[in-house]
Amino acid sequence: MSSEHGHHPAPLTDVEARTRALESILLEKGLLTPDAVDKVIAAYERDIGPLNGARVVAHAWVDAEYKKRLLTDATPAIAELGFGGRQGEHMVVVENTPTIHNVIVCTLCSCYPWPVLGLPPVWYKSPPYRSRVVIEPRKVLQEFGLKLDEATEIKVWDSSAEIRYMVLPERPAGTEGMTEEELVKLVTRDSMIGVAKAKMPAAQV
Amino acid sequence: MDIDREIANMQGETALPRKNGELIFSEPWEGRVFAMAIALHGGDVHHRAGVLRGGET
Repeated sequence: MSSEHGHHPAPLTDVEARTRALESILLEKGLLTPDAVDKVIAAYERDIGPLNGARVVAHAWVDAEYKKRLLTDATPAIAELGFGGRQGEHMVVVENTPTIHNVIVCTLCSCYPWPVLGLPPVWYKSPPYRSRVVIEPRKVLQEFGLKLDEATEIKVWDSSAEIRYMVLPERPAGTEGMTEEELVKLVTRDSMIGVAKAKMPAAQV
Repeated sequence: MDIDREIANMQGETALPRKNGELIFSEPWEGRVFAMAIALHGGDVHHRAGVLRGGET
C-alpha cells in the first residue's frame, strides 16, 4: 500500500500512536495545556540556543592573555571554556576597536557559529541581509540602529562551512568595576554578529 | 540556572539534533516527545504531584 499521492494519510507508526496517546492523556489530566507542546517546540526552534559566546567575550575583556589567545587562534581558546563542537570547528574571532568595526555574514547560505552564538536570527539568513551588508554595510548597520562614525572602517567577514567568524565587541565604558559574570549580561548575540555594540551597563535589566 | 539554555547546550549523545544551529528532528513525534518533557518540567510541580497522586483530575 502506498500513500504517495497524499490522498490518504499514512497510518501511524507504533511510536507515533504512542506519542499521540501520551499527549492526549497529559492533556486530559490537565498536566499540559493544549498549546504547551507547540510553544516549547517554537521556542527551541526560534529562540533558544547556547549563547556561550557571551562568556567568551566577557572572559576576553577581563583577561588580556586569554584575549590574545582568542584573537590568535580562536578555536582552542573557545574550547578552553568548554565550548565547541560541530559548526564551531574552525572559529576566527575579530576584534572591534574605536577605529574598526567588524560584522559577519554568510553570503552563500547561513553558515553561523551556533555553538557560541546560539540559533541564527531569521534576518541573518535573509537574502537582503546577505547581499546588502557586503555592498552597503554602513547603511545596513544604520538600519539596525548602529550609527558608526564615518572615520570608522567597517570590515565584513564572510563565513563559510570551513571558517566561522565571531565579533569581539568593544568593552563598554564604565564597566571597569564589573565582574565577569556581570559583563556576560552586556554581551548580546547581535553584538557578536557585529550589527550592534555591547549593551551599556545602565541598559542591563 | 536557565534550564532551557542548559538543555540547548547539551553535548555528545544528549545533544539536541541540530543542523547549522537549527533544531531538526528526524520525525515530528521526536519533537513532540521532547517538548512534552520540557513542558512538564516547566509546569506547576505541586499541581502535577497532586494529579499523579490521583487527588486531582
